[in-house]
Amino acid sequence: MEGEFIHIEEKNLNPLLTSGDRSLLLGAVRCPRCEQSFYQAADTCPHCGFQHADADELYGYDPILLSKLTDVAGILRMKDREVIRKELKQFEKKFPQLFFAIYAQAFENGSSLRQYGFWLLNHASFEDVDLERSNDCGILLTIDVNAKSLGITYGYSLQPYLNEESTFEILSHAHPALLEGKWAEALTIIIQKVSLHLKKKHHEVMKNPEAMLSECGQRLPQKEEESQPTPEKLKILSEEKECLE
Amino acid sequence: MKTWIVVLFSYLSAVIWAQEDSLIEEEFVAPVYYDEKGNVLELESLELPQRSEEDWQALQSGEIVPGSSLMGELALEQLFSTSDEQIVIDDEILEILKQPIDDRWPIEIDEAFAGTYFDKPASSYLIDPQSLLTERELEEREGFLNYHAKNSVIDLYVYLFEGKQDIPAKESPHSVLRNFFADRGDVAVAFYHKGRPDRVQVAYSSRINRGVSTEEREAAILRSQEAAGEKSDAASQFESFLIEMSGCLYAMEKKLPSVTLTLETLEKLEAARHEPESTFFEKIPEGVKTFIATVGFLSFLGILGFFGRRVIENGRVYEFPEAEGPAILDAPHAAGVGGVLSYSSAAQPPSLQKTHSNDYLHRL
Repeated sequence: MEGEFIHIEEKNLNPLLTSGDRSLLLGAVRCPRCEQSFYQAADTCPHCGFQHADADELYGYDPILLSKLTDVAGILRMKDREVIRKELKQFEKKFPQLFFAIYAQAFENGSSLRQYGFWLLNHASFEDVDLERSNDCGILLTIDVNAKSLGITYGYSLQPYLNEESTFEILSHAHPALLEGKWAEALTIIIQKVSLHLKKKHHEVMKNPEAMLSECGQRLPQKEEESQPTPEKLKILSEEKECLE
Repeated sequence: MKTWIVVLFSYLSAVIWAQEDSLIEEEFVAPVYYDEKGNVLELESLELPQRSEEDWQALQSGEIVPGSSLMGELALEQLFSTSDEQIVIDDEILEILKQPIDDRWPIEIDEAFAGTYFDKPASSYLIDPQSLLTERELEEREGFLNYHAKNSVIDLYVYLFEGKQDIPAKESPHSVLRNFFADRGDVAVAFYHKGRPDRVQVAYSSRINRGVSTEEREAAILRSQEAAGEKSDAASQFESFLIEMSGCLYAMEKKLPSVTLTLETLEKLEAARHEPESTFFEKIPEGVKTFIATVGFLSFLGILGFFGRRVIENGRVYEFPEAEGPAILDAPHAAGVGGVLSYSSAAQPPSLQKTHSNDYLHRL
């Protein structure tokens, strides 16, 4: 996978670009379909052409109403569900801007957990989540019981704090419990590890928010006059993009 | 349930009955008999004494009176005498009876006991080396004096002597107090003669002498003597004396200048009385004590800090700075695709079960 990453050296960028603009070009995310890295600002995956509309076409356009804990596969007992709900509540108490959701289903063969998680977090409405917490602030744990796999998808607000490596490490902690089928224990571990990771990241981001946000192409909300890019900047940005693509 | 209770009760009864039997068996010891030469006789060889035919006839005829050998000739004659003749007692016996009773008893304290009285400090509140009290009386009086000592600042030490015994001229309650109780706080020492409460002598430590007037101190002795005098037997007299004296000492205690002793002082006095040797903690060098205290204090602070931080952390809320950025893949809310873990195999570690990208994409 490392070979597909298109590297941009900072010295090649136009010096007139601000730090936010630079990070916009430097940062990268992974495509849910081809799993390749690409630039933050891309509307479609430069490798496979994937975009949100493709996921809609695959899984549907209608909005879906879910609760934070949706166990379609029936992996949790009533008693376990109460435990997990308490953990989710505790998570929301600690992080008043965020929410954590779990969706367990027995998917058909060939379904991509990444694509489905991507589509679900962009489409679903969570009935038991405050309106103040939009899906931008959500972490969705998707479980495929048939394929015996689980993955994490997260909203834009969590982009600076989570990535593939950190989420995989978090999931790895629950591996022994998952092998034994101890779902309540495994999910509790995952939620607590995510909390711990976010606490650390909170500590880091509070030291220098701008730097950390800029690493993934985000920036602090600016004043109205500052937030509007000048035509000159827009022109430079578009030229840089075209050049790189 | 009832059946089980009956069974249990029966079992317990049987156990108790069996134990009682075993106790009886243990307590029974077969008597051993000896002949005139000191040889042990076997039980089978022993026979009950037999009355001879002659004795039997003499008994029936009245020549032998049962018990006459014990009563003596004089009593036997008096028994069978028909006259009102008075019994004449021998002059020697009368002489003995005429002698003054006091002369029959020693008036000096045996040297063996004098050492216990006057040559070493008292090991208990009641000193009775001559065993003038019965074991039970001694236990009760000592118990009372211990109780008094626990509840009063002034301890009462009582030296018990026989009623007719004289105290050596060089000894007195004051000398005993001076020699052995100078460093034991507030103390009263009493010399009590059994059956003679009027001979009691009491000495008080210097602080009591300073704080309580002479009249009050003498009145306390007098009241105690009067209380003892109301009883007829020596044991009850002694008991009444102690009770009254104890009450008087309580009254004196309230009049002492610094009677409001702190608990710490009392503990020190108690330790001085009962623990003449230094304790293990006292033997530890000061430097080590300071080190232990410092480490203990720091550990306490550490534990306090740890739990305090836990409490603060539990109640802490984490709010991230608001951020803005462009939409990715035209997705309205999320484009963050995290890790995917497979748990299909227990033989492989999680890192080997990380799902891989599709093969066709590698060709790009």
